[in-house]
Amino acid sequence: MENQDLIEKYLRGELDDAKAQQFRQQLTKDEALAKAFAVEKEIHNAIQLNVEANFRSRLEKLSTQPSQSVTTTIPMYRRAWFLAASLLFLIGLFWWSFNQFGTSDTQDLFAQYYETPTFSFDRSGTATPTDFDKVVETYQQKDYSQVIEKLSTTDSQKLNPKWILLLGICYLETAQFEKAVVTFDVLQAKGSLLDDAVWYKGLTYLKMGQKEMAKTTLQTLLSGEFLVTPKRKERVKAVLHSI
Amino acid sequence: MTDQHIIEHLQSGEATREDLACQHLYQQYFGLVESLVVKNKVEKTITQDVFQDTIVALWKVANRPKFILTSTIKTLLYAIAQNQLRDRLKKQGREIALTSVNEAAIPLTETALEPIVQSEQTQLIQRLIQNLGTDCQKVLHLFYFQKWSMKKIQAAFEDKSTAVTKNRKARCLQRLRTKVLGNAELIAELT
Repeated sequence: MENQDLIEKYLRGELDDAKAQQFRQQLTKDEALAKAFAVEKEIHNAIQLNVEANFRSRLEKLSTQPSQSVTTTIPMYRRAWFLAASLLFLIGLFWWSFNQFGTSDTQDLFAQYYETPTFSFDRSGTATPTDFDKVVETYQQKDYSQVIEKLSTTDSQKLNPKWILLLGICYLETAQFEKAVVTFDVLQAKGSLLDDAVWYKGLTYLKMGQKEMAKTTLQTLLSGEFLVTPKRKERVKAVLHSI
Repeated sequence: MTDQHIIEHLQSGEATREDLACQHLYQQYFGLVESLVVKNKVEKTITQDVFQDTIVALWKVANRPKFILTSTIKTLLYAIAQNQLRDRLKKQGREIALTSVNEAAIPLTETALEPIVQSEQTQLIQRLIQNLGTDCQKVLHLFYFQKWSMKKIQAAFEDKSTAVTKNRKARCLQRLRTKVLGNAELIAELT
């Protein structure tokens, strides 16, 4: 047992230089320790390789997605077609821009559909307020910067989904839209509060004036991938219709 | 996504967050690595391999204990890509056209980028690990690869105390040991 602890510390790099050196010397003298070490080292290596293999296989799937630049030579006779296509593209772009600014403004839409969400306290009755309760109290006083200061310095591993959502809303309220989007992404990646994460991310894109991103994001709420309340579905449909 | 967010995602030990970071890296920096490959007059077809190896190495570096990002992700990624390409070209007896990068700011000198030798025994143990079940694999992953403290692993599993987490890890490791030690052929090879 003692040997295993020592081996574990060595393999995790927790021994200082002197102790590591002493351990290596011990390996040359103690046959039992050397045998145990050989097995543990191989297990350690296999764990590392297993983690790496999993990571690589996911990376492999992602690798089909990047856009890669391709250089090609365009034959002369096709240039006229390209010119015509470019003109059509410009006309299309003009039409799109016209419609983009001709429909209801994203800011108005955001104002129409965004309501600062409320968060309830964890405590019940006379129980002592939890850390979350204290943050909620600050949030209710609309001191969003203070909430950000508190939550953004906390190790993200320790934040439960409700805290992450709260942080995202505070970024949104303080006009730190990029950070809000990333925070909602994190929440979405955790697979928690998906309904809220996607809804507020979509609204953040609206606020940023990024109609297409807002549209794509909000459409996922209607895809049936996860549970969405009927009321929210109605609101999503209304926003998408207005966009 | 900021550089710090990318690092946090890569260090999270959560597949979804790691994938999010990788997706972002692909979108932002694939072209950068491609230009490095083209500049060195290497076939463009290897870009994908170089880029993947670069991301894997970046992920390993980010997961080293006490890692701190002292340059931008772009600089770090470019330096790693250069290393990857240099290794590939070396095998062909060629040298890389280096671009000046502030290498002092880039923590690449240690063994993090050295691949682990994949022996038959290691492969066999890998298969035994894959039969352990998701939670066991995860706890061993966080402890041995990510080198997280018990406290951090406890939070990830939402265990009631570190004692519970320690027990969880010990049980999983013991199960794996039993399987390894039960394989006489494997043991003969190892010792």
